[in-house]
Amino acid sequence: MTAHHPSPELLARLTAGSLSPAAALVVESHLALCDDCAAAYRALLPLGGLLLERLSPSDLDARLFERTLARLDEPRPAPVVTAAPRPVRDLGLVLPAPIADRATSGWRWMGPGMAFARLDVPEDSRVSLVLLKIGANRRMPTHGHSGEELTLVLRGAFEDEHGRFAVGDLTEEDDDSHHTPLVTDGETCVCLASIEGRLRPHGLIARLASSWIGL
Amino acid sequence: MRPAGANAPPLDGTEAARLVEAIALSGDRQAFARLFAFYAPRLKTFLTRQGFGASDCDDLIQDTMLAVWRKAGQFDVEAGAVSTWIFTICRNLGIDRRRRLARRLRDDLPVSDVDPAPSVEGEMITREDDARVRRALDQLPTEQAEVIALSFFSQSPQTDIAKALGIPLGTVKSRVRLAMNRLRHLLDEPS
Repeated sequence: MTAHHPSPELLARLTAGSLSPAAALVVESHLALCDDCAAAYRALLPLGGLLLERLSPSDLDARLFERTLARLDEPRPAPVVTAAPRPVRDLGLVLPAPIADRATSGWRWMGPGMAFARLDVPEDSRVSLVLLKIGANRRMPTHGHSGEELTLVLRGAFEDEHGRFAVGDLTEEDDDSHHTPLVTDGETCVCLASIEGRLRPHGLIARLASSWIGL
Repeated sequence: MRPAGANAPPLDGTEAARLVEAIALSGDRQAFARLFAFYAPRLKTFLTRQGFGASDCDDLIQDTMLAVWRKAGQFDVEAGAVSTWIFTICRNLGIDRRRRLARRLRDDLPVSDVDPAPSVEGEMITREDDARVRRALDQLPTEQAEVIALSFFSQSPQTDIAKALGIPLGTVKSRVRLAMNRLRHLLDEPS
């Protein structure tokens, strides 16, 4: 049972298409795990249509209609043949459908009891998508953020100043927040995170790790 | 033939659906002109607020309306309103354009023309959903409706909402939550 859901604002941005691709993948992965949010999201699409209808119109270039009209008889573009999916490296866990086919770097050591794997999101030049694996009863280094960070728990649980986060739970951190997640439940915790800007880790290991990850 | 421009008369959902049907059945260009006259100027507002520049806006409006022309036969009147359909097409094309731009920035490679990711087009939306959302939005206080519109259509929703309502940035999230919860509550009410 998920307890921490994306904010309505985040769902609205996903609906409008204005979230970065990496952040959208984290929210879509939550939707794959949470029926309530998937239903709320479906209701937002008609809302988008309705809001579009009610937007005040802008002036158009007078020739735009003629130009569009001239293109109506163009041959239709051939359907795009999508490349066969690359073999996905086995990370030892089942990933939600939205990220299941992503190429990854495989697990890399990040510190005692900690590993990360980068997920390839070539369509996002600004935000990174990573999996973090933290051993039982380990504390993640205290860190602040220099941008928006979304974290989704895929396995195990962690606790921080804001509460307890278990499988399916999503947290949003931004510029002002600092937190010190502790992995609980005696089980390894795996999280999916989209990270904008550079992490500002306070601990030495974290600092080292961030230079290895290249965040 | 010309579209009526920004002062096109309003277009209700039933008429919009009839126009799409006329395009599907007989390639009716008058019907296309009428849809263009209503939607293109609003798509421009949507795309501008999303941060697209003038030439990207023009390209995306053309591509959206071209998709309306080509896919009219696939539009299912039972599966939701024309506005939801057009919104989804335009949104997907916008997402696709941003992605291609980012790929180019990263790889410096030309990227072939791709169809927009239709991640949601196949989702279950019904005409019923549209009608419910319409009723709910109409019952919402103006201020809350505005908060919702801004959180959808603004590039920096937090700042814009704070400015529009004259409230501190820190209270924006709770205002959006309040408005969305109210809307959700209205959606859950039996009609």
